Amino acid sequence: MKLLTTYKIMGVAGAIILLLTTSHPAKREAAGSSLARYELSLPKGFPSPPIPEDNPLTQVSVTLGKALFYDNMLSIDSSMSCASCHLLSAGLADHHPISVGIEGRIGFRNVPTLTNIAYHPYFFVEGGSPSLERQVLGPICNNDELGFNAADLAVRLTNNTVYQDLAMEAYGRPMDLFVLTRALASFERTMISYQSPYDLAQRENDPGYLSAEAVRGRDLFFSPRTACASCHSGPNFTNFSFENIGLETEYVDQGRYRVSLREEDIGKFKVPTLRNIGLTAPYMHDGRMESLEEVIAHYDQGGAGHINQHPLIKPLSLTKQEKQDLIAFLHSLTDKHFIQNSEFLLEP
Amino acid sequence: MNLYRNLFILLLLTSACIFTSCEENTGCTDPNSINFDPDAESSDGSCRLPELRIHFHPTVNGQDLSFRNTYEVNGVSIRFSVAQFYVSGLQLSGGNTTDEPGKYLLVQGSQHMYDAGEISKGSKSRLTFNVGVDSLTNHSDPTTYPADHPLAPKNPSMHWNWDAGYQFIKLEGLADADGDGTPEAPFEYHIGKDSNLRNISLSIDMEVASETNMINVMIDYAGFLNGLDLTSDLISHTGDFPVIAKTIADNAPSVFMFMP
Repeated sequence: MKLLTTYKIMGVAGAIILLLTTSHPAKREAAGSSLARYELSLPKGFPSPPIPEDNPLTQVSVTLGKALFYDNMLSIDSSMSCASCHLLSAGLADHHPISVGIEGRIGFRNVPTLTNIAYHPYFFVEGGSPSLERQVLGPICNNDELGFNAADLAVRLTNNTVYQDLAMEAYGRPMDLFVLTRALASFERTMISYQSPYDLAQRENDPGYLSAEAVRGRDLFFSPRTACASCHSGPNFTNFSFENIGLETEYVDQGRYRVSLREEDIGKFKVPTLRNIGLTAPYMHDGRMESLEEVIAHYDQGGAGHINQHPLIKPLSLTKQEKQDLIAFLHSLTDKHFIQNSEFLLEP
Repeated sequence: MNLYRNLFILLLLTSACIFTSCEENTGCTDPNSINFDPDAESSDGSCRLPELRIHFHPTVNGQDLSFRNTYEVNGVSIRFSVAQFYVSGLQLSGGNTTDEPGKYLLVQGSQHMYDAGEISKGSKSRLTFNVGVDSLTNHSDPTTYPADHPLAPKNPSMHWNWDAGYQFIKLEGLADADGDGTPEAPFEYHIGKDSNLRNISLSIDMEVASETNMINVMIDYAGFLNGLDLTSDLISHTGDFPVIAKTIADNAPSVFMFMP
């Protein structure tokens, strides 16, 4: 009996020792996972975006990301933020043909929309960045955008007092470039458009949300005749492939070739989403087209005949009415709820 | 009461175990260490491996590199303002052993001494390293490194902030492109991308016996520019002028010299 008790005690003591030696990391993990998650309230049937395991969406990471998105401290002269070029009212893009950075410097490309950016598998129009997190330092450090140096920004973040508590809470470390890139990516992932008239018509199976023109345009868009949907497919109207649409015969910006250095990639750019496309004029990687009318005219004409031009880019012989119908359909992808969502603004 | 007595006995027993284990002859059991103890039966964690330091001597045409000086390179007067590159994949070998200290170094014109990591005792006959960053690391995330790490973001930047990854070699300055004797045309070479990683292999002669061990390596920065017309080939960010980038990368193996 006594021996049994001793064994019992040894067992308990052993368990205690085991607990003592392991409780530290276990506790930490519990704290990390106990952060309130940020739930994306998406309607049934609308796919959830992939969220990286090492950067889960939490209330605090999104709050921190939002504050940073609107903070001018991310530019060298504290004059601009992410939101300077990604305006909610312009569908998270802006209206310049080419981006305008600090001191009015003209950049390299048209500002891409951040609408539903969470669904993208790579970033920049040539796919030069593998994650939203990694993309962040691109515009910040580009001389013609926010013009900063990442090492200098790291010092500015370390000395900043505003974000330290949020950084500790969200990522368990002081404010630094790691926290900056993770938090900004988190906030960007929350900006999802799913309430355009087109979405409502689809979801409720009620064409009443669309004009007659838009309905005809939708059918034309998805028809084999225009083949628009062979690239602009899926819930975000892009298959994320790189295509050459015959904008010209000699490309100044060589697109995907910049990454792959393969001749067959010259002039190929990531197929853009069409969500909020009615808000993001001008169009194309260099903002060369002022209106959707010009874009449709380009596709109708069939491209300039670049050697890498996609075979589906060919003359379409669209009637005037058909062009108008397609444009009406594209406007039905404008999500008013999205651009008026005060959740995406710093001060609603 | 019985329970407390048993717990007390248990504590006594455990402490007894701990104390007896100390009676064993412990010390450093790693023969590669400085303080290797041949009598030690078990390791006490005290082993200290020899450390490698590399002293890089930046030069141009045999003179010490100074950002204030003008040098004649390929028949053109030039002045440097940035001269730096990454070293990775260090290996020090001799006999049958190869040490891989595993450090990344950002070798800068203004800094000469670099801690290159832990090595083993013995004679060494070869030092090899890459100029540039291995492909896996080249596509890693700079923000995951502590700020003082060579691969963390730097000023001047050594990363392109997109898929292209790190700039392996960064040379900037002015060249006398118009031949008036004063360098005034900026040159800017940002050389990187996986295909431009180059391996350097230097025959050396070194006996590692003490705690710190130094290798002296001379860098001839003019050597990087061999074969370039410094009145016209003044810019390469690798992607825009890949031939110039490849020329500079190909020059890397001839830039280094072991100083006995």
